[in-house]
Amino acid sequence: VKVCLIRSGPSHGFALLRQLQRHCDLVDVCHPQHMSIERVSIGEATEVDVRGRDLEDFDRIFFLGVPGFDLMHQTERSYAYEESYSAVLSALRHIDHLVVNAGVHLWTSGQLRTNQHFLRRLAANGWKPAGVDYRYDFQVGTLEKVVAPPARDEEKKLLILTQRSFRYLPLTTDPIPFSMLDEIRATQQWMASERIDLLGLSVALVEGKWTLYGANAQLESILELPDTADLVADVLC
Amino acid sequence: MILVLGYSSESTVQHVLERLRHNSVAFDFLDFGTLRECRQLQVSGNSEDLFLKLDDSEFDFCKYSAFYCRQYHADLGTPQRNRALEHILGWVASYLESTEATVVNRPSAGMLNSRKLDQLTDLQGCGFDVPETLVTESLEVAQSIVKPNGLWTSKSCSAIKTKATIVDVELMRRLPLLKFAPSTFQRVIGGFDVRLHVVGHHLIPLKIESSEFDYRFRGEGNGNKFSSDIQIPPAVEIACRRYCDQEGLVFAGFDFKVDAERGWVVLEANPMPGFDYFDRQEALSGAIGDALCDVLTRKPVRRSRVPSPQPLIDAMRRPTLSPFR
Repeated sequence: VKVCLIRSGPSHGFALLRQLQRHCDLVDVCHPQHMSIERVSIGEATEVDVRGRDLEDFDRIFFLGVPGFDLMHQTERSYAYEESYSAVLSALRHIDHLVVNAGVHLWTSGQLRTNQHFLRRLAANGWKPAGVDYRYDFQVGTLEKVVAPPARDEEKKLLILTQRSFRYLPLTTDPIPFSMLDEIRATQQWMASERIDLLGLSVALVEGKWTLYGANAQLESILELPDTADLVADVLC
Repeated sequence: MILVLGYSSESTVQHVLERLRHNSVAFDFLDFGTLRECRQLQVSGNSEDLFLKLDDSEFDFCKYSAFYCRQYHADLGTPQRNRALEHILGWVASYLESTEATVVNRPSAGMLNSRKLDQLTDLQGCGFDVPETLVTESLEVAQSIVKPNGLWTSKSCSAIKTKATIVDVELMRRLPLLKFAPSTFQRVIGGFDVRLHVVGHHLIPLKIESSEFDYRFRGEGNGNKFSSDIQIPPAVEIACRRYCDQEGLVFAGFDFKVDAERGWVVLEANPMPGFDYFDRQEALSGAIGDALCDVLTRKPVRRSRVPSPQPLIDAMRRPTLSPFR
C-alpha cells in the first residue's frame, strides 16, 4: 500500500511514522522542501509534488499538518504556514476519498475539532457522556474537576473504533458489555457517514454501563498507543 | 432573551450591542475579554445544556432563544487563562452547533472561508460567476500564466486579511518568494464593488465606488462612495440564498465586482462579517444591525432547502476559464 504521511515537522506523529514504516510503502513529508504545490485551481486536476511523486498517486494519505510548524518551539502559526495549510487542504479536497479521517481534517470546522463536539455528537448515537463541572480559581491558580473519571485503573478503558472493527485497551479478556454493542455499531455507521476512519473513546465501566469521558480523532495520539498495528492495517484496507 | 458572545473591545460587537439597545431587544452579553481579569470561572454542562459563571455573572445557555457569536482566540496574558478560554470556546462551539435556538452563525457555517479556493468552487456550484483563480508556489507555473499586464491580482489563500494587489513588474520580481508560501492569483474583474449582506430573509446591498483597487484599504471616510441604490439581479439573489442554505449561514457578507460585460462576479462570502463599517455609512444607517435584531427575535424556524430554480441559474452560469489554457 502506497501511503503518504504529511506532518508539520520531524518530531510530529513519530509513533505513527514508525507504525506506517512497518506496514507500507511510505513517503514521509515533514519538511517544507518535501512538498511543492504546483497548481490548484477551480474544477481542474491538482498537482502537488511530494518528494518527486504526485499526491494523487497514493492509496491513502495521513494528514496531520503542513510541514513548517515546529510544535515544540513555536506557539503561533506563521502567515506562510496558514497559506500553505489552506492550499494543501484545497488540493486534498479533490482526493478526499484517500485522506484518513477526511471528515475531521477537511470537513469539520476548526472550532469543532474538539473533545466537546465529539462528545455531543456521540450522545446523539446513544452514548452517555459524563457531565463536566470545572472550577478555575485564577487567584490561586487551580483547576478543580468536580466530575472526574473513576480513580481505579481497572475501570478506565480506551475504546478505539474503525468503521469495521474496534479495540478495547488495555488488552483484556473481559467481554464487552453486550448492551454496548448496539452503540458501537451505531457509532461505526455514524463514522462512515461522517468519513471518520478512526476514533478513540475514553470510557469507564460504572455499575455495568459505559460512561463516555472523552473522544479523540487525532490520528497521531490514537495510533501511538500499543497494540494498534492491526487497526492501522484495517484503516489502510 | 438573546445572548451576545464576543469581545467588548471589538467594534463589530460594540455595534451589535448598540443596535440591540436601539431596537429595545433584551439581551445578555458574555464578554470573553473579562476572562483577563476574572477571579473564578465555572464551566458546567452535559449533552443538553451549558452553564458558565464568571465571578458573579451567570449564563445558563438553555434559557436563551437566540445567540449572536463572534468567537475566536485572543491572548489573555497567562497560559492558565488562555487554556480556560480555549476550554470555554470549545464548549460554546459544541453547544451552538447542536442547539435548536437561532444561532448567528453556527461554528460549522461557512467553514470554507479559510480556504478561499474551495469557497469559490462552492460559490460557483451555487450559480455564481467566479473569477478564474489558481493557487501555486511554483515560480515556473506562475511565470507561465501570470503577466504584469494589469489582468491579474494576487491575494491570500486563507482567511488572513491581505490587500489584493494588481500584479505588476515589481511583484513579478518578487515571485521567487513563492517558494516560502503559496499565493492565489486571480483574474482582475473591472467595475465597481458591491457588498451584499444576507441577514435571514433580508438582503442589504451597498454599492462602493473607490479609486483604490481594494476599497477596504482606502480608509474610512476617505474617498469611498457608498450608495444603497443598486438592484440585485434575481439570479444573484437566488444564488446567495442557495449558498447560505447550503452552508447553514443565517448571516453572510458577499463581496462582488460588477463588471459592465460580465455582470455580478462574486469574490468571496464572509461567514462572520465585520459589518459595522458598512452599517455606519449614511447609505445604510444601521439597516444591517436592525435586520440582525429582527432575525434574532424571530422564532427559530426549521431550516428548509430552497427549491432549485435551475433555469435562472443556468442562464447566469458562465464557464470559468482555466488559467492553464
